[in-house]
Amino acid sequence: MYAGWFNQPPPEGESQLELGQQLSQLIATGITTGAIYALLGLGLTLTYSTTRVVNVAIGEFATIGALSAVSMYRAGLPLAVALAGAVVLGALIAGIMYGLTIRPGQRKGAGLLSLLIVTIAIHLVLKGVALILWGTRSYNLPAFTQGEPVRILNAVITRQSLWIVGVTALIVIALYYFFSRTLLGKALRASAVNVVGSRLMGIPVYRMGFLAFALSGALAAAGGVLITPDTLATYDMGLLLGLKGFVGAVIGRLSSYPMTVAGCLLLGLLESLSAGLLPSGYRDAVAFGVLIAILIYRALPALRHGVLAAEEAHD
Amino acid sequence: MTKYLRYLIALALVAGWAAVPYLLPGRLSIFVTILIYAPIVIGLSMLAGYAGQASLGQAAFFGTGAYVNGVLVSQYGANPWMAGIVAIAASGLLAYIVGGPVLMLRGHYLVIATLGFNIIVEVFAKQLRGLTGGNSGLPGITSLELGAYEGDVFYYYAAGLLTIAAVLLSRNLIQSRFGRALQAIETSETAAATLSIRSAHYKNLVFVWSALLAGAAGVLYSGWVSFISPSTFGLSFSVVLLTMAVVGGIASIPGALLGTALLELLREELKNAPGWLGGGSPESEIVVFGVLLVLIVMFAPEGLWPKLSKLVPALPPTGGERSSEPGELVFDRGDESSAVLTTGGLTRRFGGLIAVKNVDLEAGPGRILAVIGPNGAGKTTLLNLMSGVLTPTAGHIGVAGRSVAGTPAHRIASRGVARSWQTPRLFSLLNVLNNVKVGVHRHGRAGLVRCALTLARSEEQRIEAQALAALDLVGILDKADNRVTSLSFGAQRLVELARALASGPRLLLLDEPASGLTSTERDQLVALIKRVRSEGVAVVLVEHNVDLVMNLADEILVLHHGEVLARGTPNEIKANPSVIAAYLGKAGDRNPAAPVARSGDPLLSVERLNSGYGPIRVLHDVSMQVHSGEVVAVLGRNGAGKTTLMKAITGFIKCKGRVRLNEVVITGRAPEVVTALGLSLVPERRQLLESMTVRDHLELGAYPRRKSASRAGIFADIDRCYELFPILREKDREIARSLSGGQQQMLAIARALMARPKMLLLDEPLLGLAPRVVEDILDTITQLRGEGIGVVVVEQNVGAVLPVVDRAYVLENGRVVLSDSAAVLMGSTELEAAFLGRDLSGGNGVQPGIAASERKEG
Repeated sequence: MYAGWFNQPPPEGESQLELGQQLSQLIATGITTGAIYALLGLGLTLTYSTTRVVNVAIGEFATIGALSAVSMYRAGLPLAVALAGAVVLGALIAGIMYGLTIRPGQRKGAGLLSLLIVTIAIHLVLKGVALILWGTRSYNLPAFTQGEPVRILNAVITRQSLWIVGVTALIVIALYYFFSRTLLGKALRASAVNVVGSRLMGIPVYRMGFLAFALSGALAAAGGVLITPDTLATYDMGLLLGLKGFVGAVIGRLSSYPMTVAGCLLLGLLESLSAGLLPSGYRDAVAFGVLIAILIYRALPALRHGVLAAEEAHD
Repeated sequence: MTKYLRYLIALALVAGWAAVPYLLPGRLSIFVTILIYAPIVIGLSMLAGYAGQASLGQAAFFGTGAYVNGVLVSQYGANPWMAGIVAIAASGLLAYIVGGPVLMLRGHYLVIATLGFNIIVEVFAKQLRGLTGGNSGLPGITSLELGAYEGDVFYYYAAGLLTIAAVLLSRNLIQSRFGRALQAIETSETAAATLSIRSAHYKNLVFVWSALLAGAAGVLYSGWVSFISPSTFGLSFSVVLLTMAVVGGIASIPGALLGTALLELLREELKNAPGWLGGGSPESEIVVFGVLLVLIVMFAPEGLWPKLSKLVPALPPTGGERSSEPGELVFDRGDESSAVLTTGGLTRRFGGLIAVKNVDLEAGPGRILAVIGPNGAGKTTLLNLMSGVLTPTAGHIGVAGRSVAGTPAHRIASRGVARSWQTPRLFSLLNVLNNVKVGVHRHGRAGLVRCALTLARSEEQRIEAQALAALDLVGILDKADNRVTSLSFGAQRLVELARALASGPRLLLLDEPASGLTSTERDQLVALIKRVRSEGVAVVLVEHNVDLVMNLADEILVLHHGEVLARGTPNEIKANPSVIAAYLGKAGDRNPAAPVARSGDPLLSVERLNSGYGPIRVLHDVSMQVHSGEVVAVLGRNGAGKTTLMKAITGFIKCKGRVRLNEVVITGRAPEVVTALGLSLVPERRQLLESMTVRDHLELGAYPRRKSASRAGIFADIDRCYELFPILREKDREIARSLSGGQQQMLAIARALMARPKMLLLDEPLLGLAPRVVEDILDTITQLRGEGIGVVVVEQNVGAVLPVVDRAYVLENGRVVLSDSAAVLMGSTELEAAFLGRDLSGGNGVQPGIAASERKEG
């Protein structure tokens, strides 16, 4: 009876992979997954640090990006145009979401929890809209470039995986340039670091909030279109994707962009390697187990400094 | 009378409930669903609404109840009744185990963690296929039945009874010692802890309570439908539950019922909705739910029930039927001769800053120890250490002979230490009487079970009598049934005082109890504190109002930069010159600038400005003018409204009146717009961008000019800033956090100058700076004046700042009480009185400048 609790699925393909080869394969998969999480995680860190809102709906921008790219591609647009259009659409919807709900909510002095609930609600709305527009089917996009998988250090890697890692790396570099070299990027950072200080410098922090949401929508949509050729897109793929990005971002303390990327890659690797030990169905349990453990571990030091410190450390 | 009306309404409801199976047999299943969900939503309302611990994991406990019951019955053939009880217990146990660690988290981290927990439980339901049947579900769960009652009818009555039990028991809890503790935690765990409430314990128990209700609902659900699958208990159902609670009103039991019924009926209706609404499709309701949730949170954040119940004025709130009379307050008394509180070498560091350093003090029974000192001296931190809400970095604290350093605040409170807060921390869900009853918490014993079953009536009466006695003592017995949010600021202070006194403490810590009080209220306060002293209570009083301190204190301790500067009787302190210097600062070697006659339109004109925070009005008809090239000081002691004035001028808080800059009205404009219009504020505590470099600050300082100015022009301005403050050039690439206090102040000024302001406001620019840096900043102010910029300086260090200003306004209690040229003010006893109180400054008119020079000679 008890042995049956863990019904291991039968191993796929070549069952007798060498350990080393298996390991490098798992690592390659982990990095690819982690790169996608990183795009969503960066978006979350961006909006959290500028507006203090945890955007549960971020995954929906990935969903809508992916599904609208499929529709545009099927309507006969060139793939590149469809992809770009999807990213722009993700930015637009995220910006509108901020303008219609988050910003008015903050103006009315809504608490962080209310705003979190609002983003949950928006997640529901967008998921429902995706369901109505695209139904429950899975959709596919062609790989961005055709061709045989490549072998790197014994791991078989699809060309799309290279696209995922490559595009994520480019985006990270572009973001680095934006935040460290441009006045607008610095202004965005400033409004994340200190709202009062930024307003005193004449920086319109609420317009920065809009910009942050739009950027995060674009990042998530990019993530959505990147994985579609490999994993197919469905109307309900967003939430978990967004939450995984959140786990990675929390590992990066929701404030540092490099740490967010590192956290997301770590999560991707952890999930992928745990698949070597546990049935793949437990992947999500691993991710959220890690999240809860990290959150609690981080809450401990404040407790030692007294209840006031613990309460204030939260904000 | 209203009591009978209540019973009648309840009776009608129950009769209506019992009749449904006969009246609407065809639609029974929707009622069963509502009554199964209602207890879960009630539990969530207790957890998220009353205790403030929002959870997105309630579906997991619903699922635990359902699955444990289902597995026991269908896989192991257990007796369905026994299986049900085991399943409910399992849900509670799971909540107890998970709650301990998870409830250490707060706010959205708690939401996300419970959400993660829900996903983990769902994963296990899917993966333990041998037990649960995995994704394909678990069929064949035997239904419960009782005699002739079976199927829908049985489950209708069973779920109804569960809901009734949930309503009654939860209501009992809310009105009990247990529930008051929850509602205290909702507002502030810190304030709750100082009333001896161990929040971890209560949070965990209410979590268990919500899980027991959800588990019981799960047992009924699994028996009723006899088939369960993981998707029913997933995250999306947790979201539905939270929606129900929020729509009805998160902190309301009737609201939970209303929200559940409304949304379930809506779900039912949506199934028959037209296709373009997504009608008939499995998750069609989610769009509607989502939109509804957004609308509720945005437009009726308290939910529907609080709005509805306002429309029905027939039922006054309960509490009018009080059985107890005010009792007698008994204060903890120990050995009359020994100290109640002692500290030794008490020290607290925040990063690099030492807020409290090596403080030794002793507070004896029936004595008042006052702690005074200028802004930022560490007085509040000292109280926080003594009440245990902050843990000391080093040193010893003893309460009634026992060491308590490092002991959690709730345990220190239970040793008879009570306190008040600088801004009252009242529990907004509780009325005045219940707030004060929380004060008596430490004298109660009743736990969850006794409270739920109202078995602790005599204890409750004792608590009530004691709370009423405290209200009586403070003189606000007539306000017992008021909501605390409707009270004036002064009344809120008194409620908090009553709450602190209700436990009969041996040590009372008061943090600025007189600030914000009217003079009548202040007299009441003085009488009250004297009364408390006569009861043998030790009082530690932090207060800015020096008159009041001199009048009350048996001993005074003066803190300066976290250290004890002086101690002694009021008379000794009055005669101590270093105390006066600490308050007023010392004059430098500067000669006052010759006053220049100003004419023409002022650059900045403030006209009859009124402002404040919520119901508290801080500024009363403040008017002032500043011309270009003029330096004007705004002086006044702590709490006089100086910083509030700066915030109101720059648009950070709402205000009435008019502010004009160069004839342009800027009242009501956003701070960033005000900056762009040419008025820059260098705020108190500087508000730098800690993790960004010096150069980033200066580049961003020019943000309002980004379209008009050339890059070269901005670089030239940065160069000018570096000439003004050469040290900043060396620190060009360093981040703000790594700078010293003086360098940070320079950066804050330089950053403001980058916007090329016509008018510059400096709020406490000298606070905490070394003398040499003070000179630098003062030089800069003089230089800016020469460049035709209008400058306003808010300062406590009067001696230092008066020589560099043309004129000064003195604020007292939010009003301009004095305004004159600097030269006139420098010799004025009026000014000193405004700072130190009439008492300390006395009639002998010690001039700050003279006091300083005398010290130099001596």
